Amino acid sequence: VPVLRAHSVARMLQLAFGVPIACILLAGLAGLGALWRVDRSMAELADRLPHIREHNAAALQALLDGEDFPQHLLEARELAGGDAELVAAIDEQLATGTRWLEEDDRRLLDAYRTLDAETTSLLDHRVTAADADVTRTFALSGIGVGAIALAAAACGWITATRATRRVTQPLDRLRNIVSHLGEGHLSARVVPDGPLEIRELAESINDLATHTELLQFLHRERLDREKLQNHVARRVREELDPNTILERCVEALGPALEVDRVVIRLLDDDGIGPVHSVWVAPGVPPMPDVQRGRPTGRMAQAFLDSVLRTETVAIDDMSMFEEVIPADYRGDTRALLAVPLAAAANDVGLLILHDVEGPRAWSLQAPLIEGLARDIAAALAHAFAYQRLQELDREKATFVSSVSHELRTPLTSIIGYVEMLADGDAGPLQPEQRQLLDVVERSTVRLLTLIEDLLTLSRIESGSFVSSFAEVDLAAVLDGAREALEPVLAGRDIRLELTVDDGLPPLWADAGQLERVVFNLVSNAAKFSPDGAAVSVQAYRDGDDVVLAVVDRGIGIPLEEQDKLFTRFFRSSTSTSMAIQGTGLGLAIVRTIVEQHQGAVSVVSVPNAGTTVRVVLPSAVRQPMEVR
Amino acid sequence: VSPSSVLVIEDDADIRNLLVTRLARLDYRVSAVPTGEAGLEAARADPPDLVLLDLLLPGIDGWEVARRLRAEPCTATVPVLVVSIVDDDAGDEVEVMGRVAKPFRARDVESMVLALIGPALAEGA
Repeated sequence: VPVLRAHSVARMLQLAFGVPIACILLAGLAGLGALWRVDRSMAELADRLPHIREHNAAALQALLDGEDFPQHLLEARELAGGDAELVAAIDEQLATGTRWLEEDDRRLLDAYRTLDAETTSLLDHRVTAADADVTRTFALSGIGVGAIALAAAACGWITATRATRRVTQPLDRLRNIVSHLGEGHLSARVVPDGPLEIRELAESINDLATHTELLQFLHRERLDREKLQNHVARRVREELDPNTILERCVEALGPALEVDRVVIRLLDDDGIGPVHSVWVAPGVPPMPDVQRGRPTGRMAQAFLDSVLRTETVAIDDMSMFEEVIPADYRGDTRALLAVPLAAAANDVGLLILHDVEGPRAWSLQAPLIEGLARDIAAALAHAFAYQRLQELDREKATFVSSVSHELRTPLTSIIGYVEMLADGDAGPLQPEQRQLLDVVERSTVRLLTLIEDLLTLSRIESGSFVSSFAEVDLAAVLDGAREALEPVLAGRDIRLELTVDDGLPPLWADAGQLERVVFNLVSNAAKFSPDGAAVSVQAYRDGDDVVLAVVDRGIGIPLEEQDKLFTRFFRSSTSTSMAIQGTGLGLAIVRTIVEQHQGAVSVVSVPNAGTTVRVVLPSAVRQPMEVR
Repeated sequence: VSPSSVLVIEDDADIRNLLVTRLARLDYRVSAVPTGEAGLEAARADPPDLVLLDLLLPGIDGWEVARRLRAEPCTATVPVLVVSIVDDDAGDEVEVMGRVAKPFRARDVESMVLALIGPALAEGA
C-alpha cells in the first residue's frame, strides 16, 4: 500500500482527482433521487387520485340511490392513505352522508353535496400539485446535475492548472538545470520547489552537481599541477649549468606556487650552506643578510635532518616555534616549507619556501613540491655530472696535449743524435752499428707518428686543428711523403709505386696535412701487406677534382667493419688478431683532414685481396674556398 | 773573412748542443744561450747573421725575443728561424723567416739555414 506523504505528488493527485470523482458521484445520486421522486408523483397521478375520484362519485350516486355508499368512501379513504386532509374530508363526507340517511334532513344532503364538491376540488388540486411537482423536479434535477457537472469540470480544470504549476513547472526547471549542468556550468543549482518527490530530486541533482564540481576542481587541480611540473621540468632540462638550473627553478616556482620567497641552499662538507639562489615576490622585502648565511642552532639541525632523512620540514606558523627558531632567523617569515633536493640518494640541498603573510597549511601543496624537488634534484645531478664530464674532457685534452708536447722534446734529441751518429759525426760506423742504428731510427719514426697522431687528435677535439690553405702541388707532397715513409717501408722491403699524371692542377690545401694523409694511408697499406709487397699510389685528374688512390694487395678489411673504419680508436679485427700495431687514429685523422679540404674519402676492400682508399680533393681551379 | 755567425737560443741543453754541433760542422760561427734575455744581450753585443729561436723559454718567450730583436736597430734586420715544438699557436705576430717543428731532422735545419744565409764562408769560397 503506497504511503501518501503530505505534499507529495501522489497526495496531490489523490486530491486533484478525488474532488471531480465525488462531484460526479453526487451528480449521479441527484439524478437518481429526482427520477425516484418523479416516479412516485407519476404513480400517484396515474393510480391513486383517479380511483379516489371514481369512488367519491360512486359514493354520491349510491347515496342518492339508497345503496351502500360508505363502502365506496371507505375504499377512497383507503386509497388516500397518508393524505390527512383528504382523509379528513372523506371522513366528514361519511359522517354527513350517514346522518342524512338517519335523519332524512334535506339540508344534510345539500351539506354532503357541498362536501363532495370540496373533496373533488381537493382531488383536482392534488392532481395539479403532482403535475407541478413532476415539472418542478425535472427542472430542479436538470439544474442540479448541470451545476454539479459544471463544478466537476471546474475542479478538473483547476486540477490540471495546479498539476501544471506544481508538477510540470518544477520538473521543467529541473530539466533546464540538468541540461545547463550538462553544458558544463557546474555552478548551476536548482531551488527545491514543488511536491516532495520533485524537491528530493532537486536536492539529489544539487548534490550530484556539487560532487561533479568537486571532481572537476580536483581534476583541474591535477592538470595544473602536471602543467607546473612539466613547466619546471622543461625549464630545468633545457639547462646544463647547475647555477642556471637553480636560477630558473626559483623563478619558475615562486609565482606558480604563490609563495613569497623561494630559496635554495646546497649541502656542503660543513652541512647546510648559505643561500645559493633566491627569488622574492614583488613587494616582499628581500631576505635579510642574517638569513642568507648558514642556518644556525636548531634550525640548522632541522634542515640537516630534513636532508639526511629525505623528509620535508613544514612549519605552518613560525610563531608557534618562537623558542626554537631564533627571531633573527625567523624574520618576517610566517610559514616555511623545506623540501630536500635529493637525487638517487645523493643529497644535493634544500628547497625552502617562505610565506610572509601566513600561517599557511602546506599539507595540500607538499606532495606537489616534493615531486618538483625530485625533478630539480635529478636535473641538478645531471648537470653536475655533465659539468664533471666536461671538466674531465678538458683535463684529458690538456693532458694529451701537454704529454705529447713533453714527449716531443726528448724525441728531438733522440732523432738528432741518431742522425749525428748515422752521419758519422762520432766517427765512421761499422755495418753492424749502422744496422742497429736503423732499428733505432725506425722505432723513433714510429714513436713520432704516434705522438703526432695523439696531438692531432687532441687538436681535433679542442677545435684547434686548422688548415692553412695555399696552392699546393700534389707531386711535391707525394715526394715529401715518400721521403718520410722511407724508414717505415725499408724494414719491410715494401716497394712504393708512385704514378702521378702529367698536368695535375694545383690543389688549394695545407701541404703538411696532405703529406700526413698520404703518410697515414701508405703506412696503413704497408702494415696490412706482406713483406716485399708493393703499395701503389696514383694521382690523377677527374674533372675539377684530383683523385689520390692508395692501393694494396694486403689482407683487406672484413665487410661488416668497413663503415667503422674512420671512427677514431677503431681497429679492425684482422689488425688485432694479427698483432699489427696501431692506435686506430690514422684514418680518423685522414677523414678530418679530407673533410676540412671539402673532399671525400672512400674505401673499397676485399678480404685477402686488397684495399683501395680513394681520396677526392677539389682542385684550386674549383676553389679557393674559405675554410675555417 | 769571418764566417757567418748563428745565435742559437734554446733552453734544452741537448738540443742546443745538437744544433751547435751540426752548424759548427758546416763552419758557421755558432754561439748558444739558454734564455731569451741572454740571447737579446748576445745579439746586441755582437749582431749575428741568423738567430735560431725556441719559443718555450724560461723568462720571456720566443715571440717576445723576436719582437725585441725587431725593435733594436742593430738587430732589426737579422733573420729569425723559429725552431719549436709549438707549431699550432695563433700567431706569427712577429714576422720570422721560417719555422721548423721539433722533432726535426738536422739536415732540414741545415738546408733552411743554407737557404737563408748561404754557406758559412761564401765570400771566401
